[in-house]
Amino acid sequence: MRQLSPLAYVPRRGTLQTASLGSVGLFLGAYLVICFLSSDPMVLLAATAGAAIAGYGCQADRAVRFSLRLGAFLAVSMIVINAIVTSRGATVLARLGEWPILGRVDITAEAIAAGAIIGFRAMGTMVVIGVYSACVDPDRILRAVHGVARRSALTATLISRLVPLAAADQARLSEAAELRGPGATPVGRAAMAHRLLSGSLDRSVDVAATLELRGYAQSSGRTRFNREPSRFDTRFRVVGAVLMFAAITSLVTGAGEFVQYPEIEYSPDLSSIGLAAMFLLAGFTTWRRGGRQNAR
Amino acid sequence: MFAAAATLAAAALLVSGCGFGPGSQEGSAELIVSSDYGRQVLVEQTLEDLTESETALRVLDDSAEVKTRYGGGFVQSVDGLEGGTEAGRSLDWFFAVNGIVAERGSAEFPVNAGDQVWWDYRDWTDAMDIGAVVGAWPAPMTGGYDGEVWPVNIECAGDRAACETVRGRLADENVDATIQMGLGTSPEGSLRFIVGPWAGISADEESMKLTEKPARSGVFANFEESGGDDTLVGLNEVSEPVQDFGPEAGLVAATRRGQGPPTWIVTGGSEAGVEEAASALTSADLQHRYAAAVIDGQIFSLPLP
Repeated sequence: MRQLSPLAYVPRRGTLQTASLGSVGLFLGAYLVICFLSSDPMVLLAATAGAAIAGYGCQADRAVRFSLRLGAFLAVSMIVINAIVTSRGATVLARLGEWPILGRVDITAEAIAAGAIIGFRAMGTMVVIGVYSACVDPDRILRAVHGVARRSALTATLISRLVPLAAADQARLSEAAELRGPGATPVGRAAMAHRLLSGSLDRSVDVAATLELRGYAQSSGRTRFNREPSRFDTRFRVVGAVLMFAAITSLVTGAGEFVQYPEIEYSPDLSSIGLAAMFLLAGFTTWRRGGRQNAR
Repeated sequence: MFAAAATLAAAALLVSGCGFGPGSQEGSAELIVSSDYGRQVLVEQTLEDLTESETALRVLDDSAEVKTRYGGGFVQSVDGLEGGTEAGRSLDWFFAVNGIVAERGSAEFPVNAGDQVWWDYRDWTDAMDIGAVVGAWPAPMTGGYDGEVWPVNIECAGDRAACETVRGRLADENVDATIQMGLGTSPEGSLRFIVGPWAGISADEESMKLTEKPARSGVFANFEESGGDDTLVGLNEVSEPVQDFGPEAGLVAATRRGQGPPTWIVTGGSEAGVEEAASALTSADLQHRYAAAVIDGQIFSLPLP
């Protein structure tokens, strides 16, 4: 059986899964904003941990682990690349001589720190997007956009349905090709792509005919999709608003400024410690009373 | 086998200038930090403990409190003196190595023993592009720039006496220079000294820059014709004429086109002015100056206050 992508949405009765799109957007959006705005390593790591805790609280374990792995890989790559391409900074740790294109390469502590900040940002962003992707039903987003951009919503809906279908087609065709036995000529990628494309075109014509029969071509009034408000909406709105306010305030006041060049200067003050604690603890907002086991 | 290969690789890395830490190099360099076109010197020191990884920014950071912007590539403030806009005028930090204003960022510009690094905080509204300055005499001729040392040629467009004075001043600094009569006689890629009265050198492509504003020439001076004489006029930072030095005054200025060697202009309104300018080619007379006007042995820094 084909395994779902770790980032794919799985319907569960978690808090983020049941809350309204707006409240989830505000809550996770605050994490995204702090990841983009802050250059304080403590705040970035706390926000990453907070987003991971939020994901665990909604049983998005696989998404969190996958995002953390990918984020860590990105972070390490950023550190290595930045250390090699940027020789700025006062603290030279190693001299790697003259390189083609790059010229003189000096590994500096400052370039490593600057790379780490970019890496932490990428890791935090990956975790937030991973949690969002695993906990928010894409169909709900499409329904939400339906009112404002009907054609785009229809296109997105079709893509979200037809792309997995094409992937399933490819798996079926590959399986069928393998079942022809070891003596059969191997099926090349071009032949497979040709078969998939023609199959997709056939299916597109069928879908178009169905849509026409159902009257999608005619303009119609907006369809309303009503859903029961979640009891977690207020919680996410309040926490999201507080986090967003704190994130923007920290940008304006310059709290937790981490200077990388020409020398590393970092003196976390109370406001940056508070901000980090706030983003870390806010991750538990997704947890229900009694722990995550009760959330099933 | 593996150990031998590793040892060989390590040896190759060491030979090619690799290693842990910043390394070290013999000799010393000079650092000058000033403001207002060198009028006010804030720091002047000889840097003894040079490392192999020295850059124009690192030597500055070792001697002053530096703040940078744009990922550490642009010096924003030194000891609290911050770049920006003041009363509609733009002020920032610029640096020159051996009298040549670098076209690369300070964080990428290597500093070697014998170099003179000059950081200056100045108003660049009227002259952003100043290619070379005279304040590092004789470093451009002795130390070169960015690993390149150019042969020195004196193009004589007036009395040979002034050209001999220039050669003598260069010889005092252990620089061999060839005197050639006429303009444009220097071989390609050589550092030119154009020596002669303004009337004799104004046709030269580099000298001709002085007929334009400092925004193009990079020199806050020009010559005006007055009663049949060429008279030297000194300008201030906003390119306004401030002082008429007369035809007997001399001018020492340096320009640079593209990435080639600089051109030094030693001239005056008359032969006497050229001789004045040639006599001023000493460290004591030229230090901390972008260009200099000379009259009766008195040196004036250009731009004028």
